[in-house]
Amino acid sequence: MSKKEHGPSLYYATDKNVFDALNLHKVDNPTVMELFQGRNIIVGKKNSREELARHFSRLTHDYYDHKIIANRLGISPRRERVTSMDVVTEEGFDDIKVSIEEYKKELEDSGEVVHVTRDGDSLSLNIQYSTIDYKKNELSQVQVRDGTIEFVKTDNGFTVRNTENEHLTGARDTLLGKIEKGSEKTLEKIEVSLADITSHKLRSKFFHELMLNLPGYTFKDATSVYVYKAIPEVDEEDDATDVDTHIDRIALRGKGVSRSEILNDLLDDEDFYIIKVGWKTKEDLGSGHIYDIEATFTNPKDCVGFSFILNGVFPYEDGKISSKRRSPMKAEITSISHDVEAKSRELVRVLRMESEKENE
Amino acid sequence: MDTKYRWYRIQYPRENFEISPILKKSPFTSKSNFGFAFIGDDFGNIKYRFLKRSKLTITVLDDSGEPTYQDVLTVEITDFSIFSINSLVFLRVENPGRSIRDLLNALEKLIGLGFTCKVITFEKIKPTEMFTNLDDTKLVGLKVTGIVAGQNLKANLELTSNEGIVTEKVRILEDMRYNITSAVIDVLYKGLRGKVSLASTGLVKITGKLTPKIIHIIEKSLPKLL
Repeated sequence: MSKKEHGPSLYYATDKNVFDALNLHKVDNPTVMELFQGRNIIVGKKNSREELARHFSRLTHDYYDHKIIANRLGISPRRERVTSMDVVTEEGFDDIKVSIEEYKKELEDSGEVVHVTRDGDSLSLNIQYSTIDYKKNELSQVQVRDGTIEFVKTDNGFTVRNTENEHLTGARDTLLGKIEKGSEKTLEKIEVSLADITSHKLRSKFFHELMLNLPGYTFKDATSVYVYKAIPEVDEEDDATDVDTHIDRIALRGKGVSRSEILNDLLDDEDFYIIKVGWKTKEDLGSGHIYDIEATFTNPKDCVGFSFILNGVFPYEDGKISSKRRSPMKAEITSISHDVEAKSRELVRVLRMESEKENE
Repeated sequence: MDTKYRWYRIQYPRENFEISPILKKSPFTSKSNFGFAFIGDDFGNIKYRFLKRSKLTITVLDDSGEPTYQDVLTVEITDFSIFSINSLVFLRVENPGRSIRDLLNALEKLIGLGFTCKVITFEKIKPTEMFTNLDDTKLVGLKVTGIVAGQNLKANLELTSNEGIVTEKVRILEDMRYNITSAVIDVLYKGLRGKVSLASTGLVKITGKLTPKIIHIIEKSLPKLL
């Protein structure tokens, strides 16, 4: 079992911690009223928050009081980006089940909550875990989060899709290590990465093509483009001086950003390359909704760690595209994920060939 | 009848880029969502037509008065020309709709990364400046927005005159810092009359038989407007 990085956050909250927490805007009036009601005190909406916080912080508090406050301070559930890799193997669900069960037990022993569900050709692990951030207010240092690792059966093995963050990517790699050990065969892992394509032009082309030529969709608008230029590396042994002024990333947001002169000047003259894009695209067939997608490389310098998110959907309703964005449904996320993954893999293949040609 | 125009400065990924063969390879067919066609000559340049499938939604009330929606498939068209002046490339769109995003998206898709597009506006010059070589030029309409210096006043003004407006002589404008929202100019050349309306968005409305001449004058001035 892996050793925990941090100890428990707080053994008790001081009157100062409670006072500070109650004065934060995330703690709303109904929560404060609920806390006072537990002590048979009725407070009005117009009572000064500071006054109430001062009074309540002087009383005795128990675990449940802290929990009510901490729940209000916890991070708002925000969907995270998804990353994926293809795993080439002859193993099936029944073969990897043992490794999954073994890993599930390990995670549960270290306090995490794991749910394994199977739906046809897909098997998902939903992992609920907690993270600690000492930079935050004392009562919101422990944050309970969750993420998913999904195995989707393909002709050659599996597509493994997971929530893009350090914890879940680590969990995915550990699990794949266990599966590898169990099968006694090396798994071939294929990730979307441009690490071996060093041409800035081709790296930018990857995102441009992904936006404009996603099969089954009509590109509508590029709403954001982030460009990057790595700081030149200084050789310690060399007598070279440090770079004093260097802009390493620029975010461009608006309409038609991909064909703006500013962007193209940065790409052509300043040697920047695209590392993140946000765009709107319309489904050709089916419902005709407009999807708001974002794709990026987590490591911009090497262009590895490709991830994406379907930010929202502008539904086609009553004969027109609604201006109100709604959250995507599970089926929409699955469909977009499949299409973005397939196109990104194809693009890596094509660009790799172009890169080889360029280098010849 | 008036015709609306809007000009854009466009750039290609590389020098000596030929757009015609690319548009030729992308005709409008039963299987494509959009396509291009050549429709002839337009003031010395090839005129293209952009065709795109779209949907019109019709609201129908059923027997109980409830609205139901029916889609009617249609094809939208936008005519345009692409031409060069002093090695700068420009796009002229005729009667542009509220947005020509679909045309620009189609061009970007075909041309690829490196295609840029920027609308041309006329704020760098005085409205009548381009037409001084004609026999007669009169500024007959002017809309401005601005602030009155020292008085903390915001002003939206619309001035009209059949005799012509000389902005330097309009006292109310003397104390104002303003931007022109639109200007209407009457022009006369070899006995023919025409009217041009320039908007701050870059939209130009031209009326009369002088249309080819006015277009020629505007296009000659485009490099100065960048």
